[in-house]
Amino acid sequence: MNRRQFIQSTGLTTLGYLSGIQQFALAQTPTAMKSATQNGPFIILFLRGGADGLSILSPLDDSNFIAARPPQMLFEQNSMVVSSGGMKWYWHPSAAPLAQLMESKRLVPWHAVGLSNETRSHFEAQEMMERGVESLQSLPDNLGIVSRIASLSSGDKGFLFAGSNSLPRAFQGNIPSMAIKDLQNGVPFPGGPDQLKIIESLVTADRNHPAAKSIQDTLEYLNKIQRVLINGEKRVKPYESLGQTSYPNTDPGIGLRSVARLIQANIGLQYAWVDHGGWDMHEGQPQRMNQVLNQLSQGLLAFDQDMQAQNKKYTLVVLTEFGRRFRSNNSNGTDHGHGGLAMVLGSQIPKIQMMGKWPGLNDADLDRGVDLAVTTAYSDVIQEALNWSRLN
Amino acid sequence: MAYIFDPSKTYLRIKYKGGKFRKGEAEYPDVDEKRPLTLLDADLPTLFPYTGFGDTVPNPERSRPRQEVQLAIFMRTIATDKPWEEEWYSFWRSHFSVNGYEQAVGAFSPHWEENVIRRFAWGNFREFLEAQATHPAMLYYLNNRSSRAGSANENFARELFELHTLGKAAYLNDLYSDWKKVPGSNIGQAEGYIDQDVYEAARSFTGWTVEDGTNLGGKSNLPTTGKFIYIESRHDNYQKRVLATEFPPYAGAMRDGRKVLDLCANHPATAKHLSLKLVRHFISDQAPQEIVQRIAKVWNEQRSNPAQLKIVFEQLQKEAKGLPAEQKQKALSAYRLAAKFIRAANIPFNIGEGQFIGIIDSAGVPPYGWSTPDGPPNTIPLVLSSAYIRQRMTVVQGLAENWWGTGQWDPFVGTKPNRTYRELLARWELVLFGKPRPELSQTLLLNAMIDPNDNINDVKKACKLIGILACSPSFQTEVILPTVLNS
Repeated sequence: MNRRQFIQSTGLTTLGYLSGIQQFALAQTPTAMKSATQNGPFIILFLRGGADGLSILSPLDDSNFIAARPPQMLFEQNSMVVSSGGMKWYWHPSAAPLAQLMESKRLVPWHAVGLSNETRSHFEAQEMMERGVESLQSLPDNLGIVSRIASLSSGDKGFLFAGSNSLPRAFQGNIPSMAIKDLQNGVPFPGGPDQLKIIESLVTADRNHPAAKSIQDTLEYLNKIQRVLINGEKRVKPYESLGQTSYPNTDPGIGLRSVARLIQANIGLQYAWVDHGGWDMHEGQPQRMNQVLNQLSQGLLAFDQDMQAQNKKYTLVVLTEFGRRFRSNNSNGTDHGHGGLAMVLGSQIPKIQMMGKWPGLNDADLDRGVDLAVTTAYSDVIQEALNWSRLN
Repeated sequence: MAYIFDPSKTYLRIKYKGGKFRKGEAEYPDVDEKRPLTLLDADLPTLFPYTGFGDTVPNPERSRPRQEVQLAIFMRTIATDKPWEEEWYSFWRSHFSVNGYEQAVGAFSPHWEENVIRRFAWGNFREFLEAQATHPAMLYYLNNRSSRAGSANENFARELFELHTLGKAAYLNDLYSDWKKVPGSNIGQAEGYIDQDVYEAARSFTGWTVEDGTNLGGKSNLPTTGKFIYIESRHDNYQKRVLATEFPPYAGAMRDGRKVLDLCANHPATAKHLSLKLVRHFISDQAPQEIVQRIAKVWNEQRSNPAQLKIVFEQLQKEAKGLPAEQKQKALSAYRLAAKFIRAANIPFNIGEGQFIGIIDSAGVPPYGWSTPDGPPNTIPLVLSSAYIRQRMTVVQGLAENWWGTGQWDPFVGTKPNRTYRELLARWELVLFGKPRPELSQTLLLNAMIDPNDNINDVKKACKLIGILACSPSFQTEVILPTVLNS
């Protein structure tokens, strides 16, 4: 598919008011995301490795799909169905909690999402999405997509928080950002607050060092977080969900729990990021999908129940760098593909079963003859989720 | 102090509850002992059972090869008088990154460390490529082990192009969907690669696998040695085309894969990609373009030299000499940070009960601890990010105050009896920063509400203050390459 065809098909998204062409074009400039403040935090959960959307929400009635995958990569048609445009998709058994969230209008799946760029490289595709662009050749600025969104919103931006062990490129920019996967024990400093104060003064005295500024910001926010979490007690108490489902002690549950904890602490968190790895299933896909999808589904269910129990608004977008190859390989796995599955969760989800335009799975429909095509730019999904987050 | 790494005198605490093997009635007992490092030189058949195959090694022991190699790397980082050499191994370990926390990969990690990384790091890149492509750690990690004719597994072939050789700058899939359109193809010298090259390279490596006991049909099984094997019947023998070069059908055993490695090793994009990475890693996060170009030139010229990489290293050293120290500050890895403090303070290092390992592994990405094949980041903002900075300071402070039994040291060495705080810290400024930094000591004492002219004779207090001084940003980075050549 060439670029023009891509833009045309993007323009055909299911909702009239989602003007794909315009937003897609804008997404390449720093002014892409309209400024406004959303209701509740805006969170991106990134499935690293390229999640096989076709296995999460499977078109099991499509004979092309059945022919492309061996029996062990398929499952029986079940009652967890999404219908749209006369077609049906079935949630993977391990995604039952996602089906439940969808039934209660807390989640909308969005299929055939991705980059217009034809890359099938993890690291390029992730970087493009994290920088909010469609090509790395001419970058509009040095910002990551979350920094760009945050810098356009009015009011105090606070800090950007990742419930992960590494800072996502999406945070690149001038807003202070933190990456701490697990906050269960808080972020105590060796020697306590008094010693931290001394170290902060040393960092100030060493201000000409290239790392001094970022260390200073980091220490300041760590200190702030620790003060809030310890709340006058002797040590930080582990956080428990207020919902029925407790957070699984795996990714992405750990990171989501950290985000929830900061939301509960009311320290002005507006933008957060959580990574979930393990989706690069070139081999042994059936077992791995069961496990990883179960972790994702349980984590999201726990988070949503927690937010509901606390009466907190939020919007969360689940993205991945690409979907996987339509036809499986001989290792019981799938190689890198193109169109993928996105999901939007939150407190202000419209009553829609499914977003996106299904491109079909006939040979002629496949991108470059091998992959599910992309009909909605990932940046449009983010923009639309931001729009929803601003609804009352 | 002379720091010597002796694996037979370096102990790992092994502690786990007894349990049952999956099959049969066999049980394994409770274990709680300190065991010397014994697997560093182990051959592949010895390591193979640690993958879990045959269920002969108790489950909790299966991570021991990876734990041993991590501890060995840490001890070598302390022991070496030439830290840039360990950093060179570290670069290649990250370049051909494998995740030792995947059981099968971790099982082979000591052999990979010795026979791929350390053995080839000063040698020839083309030979290095083949050593890694045929090692079980990589064959398991990027799944080439299971790749066979029909629908080949593309994982290894793609990362070979993108990460190990040509680099993502040469990935032109967004621009071209037909190999013939890639510039240079008409003369057999494609400037970059597209997915069609990935498909064909994946076919070229089909049949490159591991003696892992797999059933070959009927009663025939592969041996269980963990060694590389080429299986003709799994190889896709028909003609191929990679980077605009034709491969004849039935070229002969391993010829297709080797030809791909030749093409990749000799491609100009590989020289560029590796040179940029090397300059970023060893000289500056902001790699000067002209230095990258000169390194690439040497890389290219030395392609057939058995000591190609050693010569490239020497060129890097020469290039770095011309830059002032403030332009070549690189973040210390967590291991190097700890080693630098241990050596500065002259700590008689002892791994103790091993709590220290858990601490240091949370202060950064440990070797073999990065899950994706792109290798861990090493730029200042990411190494010193919020995820690690607190633990980095904990490491330094805990070593200084001997929290984990790693060794008591003498903070008063090199000072006169009954020295003042000012005198004590003036001595340690030189040790830690290589030059007087009175502004740091003054700030430290002022904020700790200590009179610089008071006398200090309390060892504990002195150790603590010196540990805090080492939490200054200036102790978190260093110039990697030595300015004196041939040292």
